[in-house]
Amino acid sequence: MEQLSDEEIDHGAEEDSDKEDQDLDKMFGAWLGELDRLTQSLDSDKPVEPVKRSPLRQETNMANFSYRFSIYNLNEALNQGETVDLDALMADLCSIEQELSSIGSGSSKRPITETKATQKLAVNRHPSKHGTLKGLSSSSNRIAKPSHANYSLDDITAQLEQASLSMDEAAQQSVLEDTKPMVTNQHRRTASAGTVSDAEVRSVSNSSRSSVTSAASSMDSLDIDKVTRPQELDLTHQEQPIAEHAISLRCPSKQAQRHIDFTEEQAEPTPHSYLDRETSLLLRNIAGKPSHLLTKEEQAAKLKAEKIRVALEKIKEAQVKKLVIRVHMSDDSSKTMMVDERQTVRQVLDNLMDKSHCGYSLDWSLVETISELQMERIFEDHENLVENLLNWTRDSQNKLIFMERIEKYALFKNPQNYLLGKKETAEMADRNKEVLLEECFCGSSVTVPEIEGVLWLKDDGKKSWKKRYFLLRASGIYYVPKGKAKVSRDLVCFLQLDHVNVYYGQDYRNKYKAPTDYCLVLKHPQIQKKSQYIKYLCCDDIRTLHQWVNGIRIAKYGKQLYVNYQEAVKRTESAYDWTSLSSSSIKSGSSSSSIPESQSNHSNQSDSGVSDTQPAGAGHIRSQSIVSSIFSEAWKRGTQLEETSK
Amino acid sequence: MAGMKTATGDYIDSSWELRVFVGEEDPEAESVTLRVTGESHIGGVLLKIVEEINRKQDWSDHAIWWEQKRQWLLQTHWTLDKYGILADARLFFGPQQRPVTLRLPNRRALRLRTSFSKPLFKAVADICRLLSIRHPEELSLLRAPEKKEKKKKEKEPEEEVFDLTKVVLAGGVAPVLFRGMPAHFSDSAHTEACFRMLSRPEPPPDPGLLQRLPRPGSLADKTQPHSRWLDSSRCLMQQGIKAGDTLWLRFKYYSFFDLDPKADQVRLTQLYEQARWDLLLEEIDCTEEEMMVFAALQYHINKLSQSGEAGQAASTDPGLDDLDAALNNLEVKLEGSAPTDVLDSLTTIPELKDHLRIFRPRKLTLKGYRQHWVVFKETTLSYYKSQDEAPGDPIQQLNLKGCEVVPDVNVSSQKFCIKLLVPSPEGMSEIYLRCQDEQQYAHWMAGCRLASKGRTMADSSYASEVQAILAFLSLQRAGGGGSGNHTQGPDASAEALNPYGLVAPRFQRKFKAKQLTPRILEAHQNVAQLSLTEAQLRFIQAWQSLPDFGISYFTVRFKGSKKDEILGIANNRLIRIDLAVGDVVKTWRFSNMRQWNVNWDIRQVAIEFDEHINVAFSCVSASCRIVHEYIGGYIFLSTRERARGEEQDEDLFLQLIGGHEAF
Repeated sequence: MEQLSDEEIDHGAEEDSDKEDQDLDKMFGAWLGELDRLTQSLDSDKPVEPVKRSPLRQETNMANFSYRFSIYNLNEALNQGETVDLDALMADLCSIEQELSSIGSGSSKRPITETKATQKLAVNRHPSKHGTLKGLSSSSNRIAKPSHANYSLDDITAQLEQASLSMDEAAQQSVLEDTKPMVTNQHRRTASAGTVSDAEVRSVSNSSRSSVTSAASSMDSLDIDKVTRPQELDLTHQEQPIAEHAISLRCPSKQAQRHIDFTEEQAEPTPHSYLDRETSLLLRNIAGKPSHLLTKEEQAAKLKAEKIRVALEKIKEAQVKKLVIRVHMSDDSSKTMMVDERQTVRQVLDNLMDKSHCGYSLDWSLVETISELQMERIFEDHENLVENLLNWTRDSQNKLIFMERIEKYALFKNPQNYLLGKKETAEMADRNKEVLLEECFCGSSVTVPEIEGVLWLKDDGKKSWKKRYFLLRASGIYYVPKGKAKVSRDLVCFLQLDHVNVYYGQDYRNKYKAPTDYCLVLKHPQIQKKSQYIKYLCCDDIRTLHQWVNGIRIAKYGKQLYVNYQEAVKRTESAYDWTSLSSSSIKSGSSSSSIPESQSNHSNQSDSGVSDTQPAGAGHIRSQSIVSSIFSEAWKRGTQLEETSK
Repeated sequence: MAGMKTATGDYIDSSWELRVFVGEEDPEAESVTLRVTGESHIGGVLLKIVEEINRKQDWSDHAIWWEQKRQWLLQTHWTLDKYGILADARLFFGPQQRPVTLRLPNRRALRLRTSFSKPLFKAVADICRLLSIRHPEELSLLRAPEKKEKKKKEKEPEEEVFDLTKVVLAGGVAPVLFRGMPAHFSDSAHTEACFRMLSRPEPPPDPGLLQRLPRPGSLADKTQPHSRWLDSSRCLMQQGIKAGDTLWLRFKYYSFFDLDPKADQVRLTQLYEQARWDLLLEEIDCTEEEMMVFAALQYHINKLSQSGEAGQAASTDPGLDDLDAALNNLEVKLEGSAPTDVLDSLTTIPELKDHLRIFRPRKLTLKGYRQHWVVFKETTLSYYKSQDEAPGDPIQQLNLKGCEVVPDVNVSSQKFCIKLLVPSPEGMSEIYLRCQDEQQYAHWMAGCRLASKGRTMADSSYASEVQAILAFLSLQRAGGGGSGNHTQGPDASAEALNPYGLVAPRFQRKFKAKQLTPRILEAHQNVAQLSLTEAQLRFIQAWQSLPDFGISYFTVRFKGSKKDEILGIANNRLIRIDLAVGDVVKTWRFSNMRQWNVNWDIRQVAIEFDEHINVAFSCVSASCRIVHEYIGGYIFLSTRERARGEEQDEDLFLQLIGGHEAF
């Protein structure tokens, strides 16, 4: 915390100035040991000395990225002097890494993966240890890029080009740095959260890339010894390894390798240019030749092309942004965690539920509150969290709250209250609910509920509200102009929903003299301050409010909402054992024969014709009995919760 | 065998003479006389007839039609007694397959042979198989509306009638694809043209024609077409249809199952056409904004279909993501070009710099467009007072990511403006860029569009975007984009954007073409990237999400009520609507329905819902059979989900629509 200053910090293991660092050293020690074991097992025939050094170097190299400070709630954290939950953060990092690697390598649950995670941990530990460093460099260490590639990639020009510049640097460093710890470690903070800053681009130049380079360079020298080969093969055969996976595979032994090839590398000043003219010529020649006819050189060329392919995949990885966020819990505590830009709200919620041991429920939500505008919104599960957070301004007072909100999926628990356009609440049999949901969401297009009625609209810039008759359609919100009938042709478009999100207004009776407290707000997600482009609507009662908000959600997100819900149910289910419940729900489904007589008869006929495998009783139920059981369980849970919350 | 005689020539068995006319119901037709007994089987009679006629011909399709009973004698093992046929029966020995003219959803005429003896449900299934439309249960036939005698003989343009009467489908085998069309279409140039007609969307209709065609003025008018549906459980012959009659083929049930762009080329196109005509003829109401989207989609679909880019060309493999594209690119580069060039192209970030006139609308300002030096790099637009000040701080810098880009173009008056609505934490900033000419406009516009999606001009799609915009402008120049000459003939509208062919007549009255064009273009911007089938699907989806979509209207009188009301039948509910005002009085959902039945004597439909709600009504505008069939049909369709992949259960359908009881 006292190390907030911009001073450069050596990340070498020898650097241990304060207590925390000693602590850290211990951890490092453990990891180093692990790394040792790994490397020894990898290249047991190698001299031990360089191997021992490699983890250190590995660490310094990996640390050669710049940190990016997340501004989110940073001020707050500092002001409160609260200790940042480092352990939680670490766990995050860990799990994210593991997740990433498992995505990439699929089945490869080899011990390697774990070591890799540990390695990374060793690196990432550093920034987090300093407590105040709440941001992590985005791209950081997950890049391996071919250098100076003489190929063109339209999509990635900018990054690639800058990266290849810094690559040079890194590669040159890597030649020199062998004897001393890296001095050029950039310990950089950028205060801007959203923009891809200089530092970030620079951070691309981390050691993992240069390590690839050097490994490649040994390839170039056609000095493929036993140690390199298996790893190279590994790299090329895994079609889609997540970047760091492959890197960490080779890193330790590569260091060893490099030691041996060191002189040779120096002799070759640009060892990392993969595809020189010669190679490309070769490649052209071998096009169409069967592989067994290729000469050794040609094969090497082919291998290079393959490596470029792998590297390209890694470039994608390189662009992953990460944010450290502070999530407020309902009990006024808060948690700090890291999210990367690919994570959906659902994934973040799963993380949070795991960590906070709050029990699994559909209703756990991430709520964005914009205090300046006194409004809030429940993030939809499919939304991208980072994207949304990047809309916040630097000095934002906005908060992210993790809490249970019944209204999130109330729509699916009691669809009859939202989809039928009726004014009064009603009960409905589970089976009919399911039919209703299917009808609404599972057709070739989503049926937007017919919601219409008088709402209050706030005048721009004034604290006065006017009544208007509004209608919701799939294409947007409309109102009936004065003196006109309620027919489609005369409707005036109030706004279209593509570019706005729907928020709940809070306490607008005080703030804007609203007629009631049941207000909804429509605004572009990027708008964070008072603006004429924000539209405020006020409903007479809370029921109307929820109907409108849910109607707008359906019009905006369509089937995705239902998919989210089903996904959420699945998650919740897998967390609990629902077997007893589900069997009973099937029973109740079959006994509640509210099916029209004629229909049920016929459907029995058709069913018996359809499948012999289905037991006669089960055949009666819709073939999506899975859906039905999911639904009815969710419904039960929903009602339980509603009851308990009352 | 019948016809045993004594030596004197008297018949000694109980045989009698049966006269059978050969040919379709024509009293003048030739006839043959057979000697039969009551025990004669139909099969034997058929054989005798053929022997009597003594003509070499394929008789396999022929069967006997009993005129008085309006019935086909199709059970060959039945005896005459079992059928109850006596000597006075008027029997016709004629073909079961007879030609009819179908009016397709795209309003084109097509002659084909269809079965006059099978229940209509089956006949339609055969027709759909021939046309390669899946899920025939959604379609049915209507009688053509009676033509009013024209007072003065208008010269109707000679209409091309496609003919598929000669095409015979092998039974039971799924049609094989050949050259992208079902094999039976690839026989001749004519049938190929026919398939094109079926699978390609038609150009927009002549606006004049749109004005002339009848449009429903009230709810009562909307009930009219529904009185013409034919009965699915009976054959065409029984319903008084004659060979050569014109029938309409339409999607009857608005519940389109499993629309698959790959397998449903014809179905999708015909569905699109039906939707389009629904909208253009104001059968279904929509708002102005919705109409613009529909118009833009029609324009886009027409453009794609005109340019010959059929579904297959447009269906680029979605799996080919940018990485693959990059790799392809890489391969190309590896083969040639000096590496230095490549490196250069990699390192230069494309940017646009130019003098543009900028206008920022503000309150209390009278300033108009002002010349600025504008630099557009990556996704950021910066403008300076002059070029000299460019290295310094710009007057304003806008990141266009996520912004709205609206074209404001009028080619004839040489106005090329780009309106940008840029979101920022403080609200939206509105800014207009005015370009000097088409070229400049196209480049900046393309840049803005890419930037709004977060991509730079280095993106590979930049060049094509520029080209698309230029092509677009040239279209506008040729068309009714403000030249004042927009009431051109249909052939001109195929080339240029004639907005009047794309919107319902009431919008033609409301707006000038000059006003419509930019609005359609604006809406087009959002759909410009869609392929032909995607655009058709989008059109259909937008149509489906209209509130009034899929409601078939009938005038009914509810039990106990003294006035006529409207009953709307949709795929999931019945709606009681006030005839005069058009307000929904009550909705009943099929899922709550326990049973329904028809009292054929008093022509009353009675329905029982959950919680002992009973509804009964008699049908005024259409036969109660049609209403009954509609309800049963929808319930049948709702069973499809679980019988997925199975053959449609015809019996179930007939049962649900009350076909069996009706006999």
